[in-house]
Amino acid sequence: MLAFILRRLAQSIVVMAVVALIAFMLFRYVGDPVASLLGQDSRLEDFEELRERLGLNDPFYVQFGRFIGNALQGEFGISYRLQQPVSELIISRLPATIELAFASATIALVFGLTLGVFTALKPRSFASGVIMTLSLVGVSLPTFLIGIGLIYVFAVELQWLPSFGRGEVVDIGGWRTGLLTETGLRALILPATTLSLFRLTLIMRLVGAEMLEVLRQDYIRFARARGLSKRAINFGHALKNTMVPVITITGLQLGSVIAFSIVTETVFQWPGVGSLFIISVQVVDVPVMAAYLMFIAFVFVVINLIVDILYFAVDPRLRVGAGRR
Amino acid sequence: MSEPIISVRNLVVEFPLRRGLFTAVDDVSFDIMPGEILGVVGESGAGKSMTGAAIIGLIEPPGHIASGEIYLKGKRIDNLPPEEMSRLRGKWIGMVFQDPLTSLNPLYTVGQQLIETIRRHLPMNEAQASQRPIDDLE
Amino acid sequence: MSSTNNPAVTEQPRSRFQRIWDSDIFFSFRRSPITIVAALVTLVLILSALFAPWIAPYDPFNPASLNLMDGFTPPNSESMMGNYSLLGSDHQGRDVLSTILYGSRISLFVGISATLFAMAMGISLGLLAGYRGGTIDAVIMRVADIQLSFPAILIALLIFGIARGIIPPSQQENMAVWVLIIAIGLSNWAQFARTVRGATMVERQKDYVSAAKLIGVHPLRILIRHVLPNVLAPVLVIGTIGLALAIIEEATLSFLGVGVPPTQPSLGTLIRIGQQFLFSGEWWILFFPAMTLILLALAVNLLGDWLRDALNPRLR
Repeated sequence: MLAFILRRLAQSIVVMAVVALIAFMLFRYVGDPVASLLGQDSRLEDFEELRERLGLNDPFYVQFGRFIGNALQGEFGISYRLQQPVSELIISRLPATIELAFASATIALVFGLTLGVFTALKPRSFASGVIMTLSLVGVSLPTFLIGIGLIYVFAVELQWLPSFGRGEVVDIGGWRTGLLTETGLRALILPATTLSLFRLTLIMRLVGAEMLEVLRQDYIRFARARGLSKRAINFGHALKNTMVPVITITGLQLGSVIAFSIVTETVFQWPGVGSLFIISVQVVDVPVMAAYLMFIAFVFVVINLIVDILYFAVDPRLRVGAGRR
Repeated sequence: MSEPIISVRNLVVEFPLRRGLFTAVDDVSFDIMPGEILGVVGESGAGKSMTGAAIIGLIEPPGHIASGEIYLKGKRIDNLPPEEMSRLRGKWIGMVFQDPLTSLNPLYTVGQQLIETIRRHLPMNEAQASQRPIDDLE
Repeated sequence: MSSTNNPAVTEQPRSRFQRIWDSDIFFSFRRSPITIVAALVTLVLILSALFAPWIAPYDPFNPASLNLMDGFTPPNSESMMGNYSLLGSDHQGRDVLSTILYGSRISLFVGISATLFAMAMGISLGLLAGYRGGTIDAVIMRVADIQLSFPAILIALLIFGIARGIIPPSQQENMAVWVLIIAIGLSNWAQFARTVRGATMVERQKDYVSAAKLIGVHPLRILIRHVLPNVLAPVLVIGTIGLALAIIEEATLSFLGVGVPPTQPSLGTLIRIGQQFLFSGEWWILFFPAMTLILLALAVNLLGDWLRDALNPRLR
């Protein structure tokens, strides 16, 4: 088990290093940092002086080393657009995104799992047909349209929920949360639902297909032949076997929720890192783009690691070293 | 003369397929007396496994028993509700599959699956149920 | 003995057309009314987009023909200038039906090109990885893994951002569509690569490849001739579903303002424009482009789904 963890850790570090390299190249070679910081009207000497100060004339590996060193300390430079340290920007907007991601992931998991199991256990029922059709529509709907649609129905027509923003927030030791206020929670509902829908349909179809496949297996037939109760078969056996591949894919999916929040945050004007990223792309604010990239990569790598360890724990075949499915 | 343990009368198993109705078992009848062993021989696809599946009530839909009756110790079993049928399976009628490797769930131990079957049909607790297979295997 | 309905028994000589019509694929096609409708819808949308310049009632992008007085006409009515508009007109006086026709043109063009690009890239890399094996294979597959775990939008946005930073501002409008196609293509190629690589590895082991090497024929040519027909089926399925994704991706990017330039609006751009007027009552400016987009994506997805089921031997 330890060897496995160490190996995966080493791989993760390699991936992070590669991403850091890409982010660094972005930093240096896309756009001119000096021109962006100083503006067009400065003198040539000022350009040169800043270039020297920023260490832009040093050899490549020195600059890269400095970049990594800074990154490890959380220092990502200054945003061209806002003239604020990037790390501050990201950290201040992080709680909003995390809360949104968490809420939507929960919705997607809970409903996706339930509906998926339902369609597998009662594949020919009318309800299952309806669910499958709706899921197909769900995959074809772009997230932003869902957001707009929901806003129109719930915020404009029915006036039940707010159409943008986060509601009132409470500061807990540096973490700005919207979960403790009524307006905060109500503001969370629409964006979280929007963000969750795509994932929900994916999870549902995955769980449904996988469980149907499992139910066809010999050991399920033999479990029936042994006279086990339907509940024991469906939940004790079929569900457990379904979970194994589902965990991997779902875990990876959930890691990407944070990155997917880009669109939803923009539609709902949710003040998170996603909307920050979009704006930075629109104006080519490179430091923010690079930092966001590193951040997302980091989240992915960590989630991958956790999922792999979970997989290991659930599937005893891996522990015996029998190899993966 | 004693009663047959299993009695199959005019069994017909059908599968409605895309292109028509497919008859897997066509009017099969036999009795098995207590202590008797009946060997059924036939080519691949003759319907041997299907007949067995019909007796134990495990035909996959859309296949179904179109007509005929099956009796266990004089009691009719082919038209029982699924919950009752599952209580008979494992306790009174058993089935052993062709491929032992795939017959058990790889995520549980053999012992766990033996115990769950025992506890399903007999009123034992965990300890008693784990002792029983050991006794039986000796 | 009761008679069984065995289809193999009644074999009459059938014409070639009849055989294709009776084949399993078309059988499942005929059986499923939804798929027929989906195929028809897709066809109609593609054709109308293709022939937009000829069938559009007005030319929405010719500044000379636009008149603000035509603006904000509700659907199925005449504007103040007396011009009839089936789906209404937007704030600049453009007829919505026409904008949709031209818009779907752009959306389809970008979507199809991007998917073809992803296909080409994925198939080539897949063949390379499967044929060479070793380090090249490991590297390509790792990169593919990374592409698969990042959301497509992020990758596309990143590439778009980089392009924006590199391309001088004067060129940006011309290049925008191509950058978009490449960006979307780069975010979708890995699925193709994976599938093709698997099939290549299987074929590579076989004797005829070694034999080809002996004779002097380059094994890669042989592989292409033998691997590609095998992977045609899954590649088609992935391609269709990928097309739907590409269309949605382009719409999302255009909606966010980082897609096609405003002079060549796609359905996504139209939705972005329409959103401003949704809450003030002119709902049609957003509604009809949105409906077209949904219809298009849905139809393509349905086709892909049907294709997947029809080509899957296990489900029959």
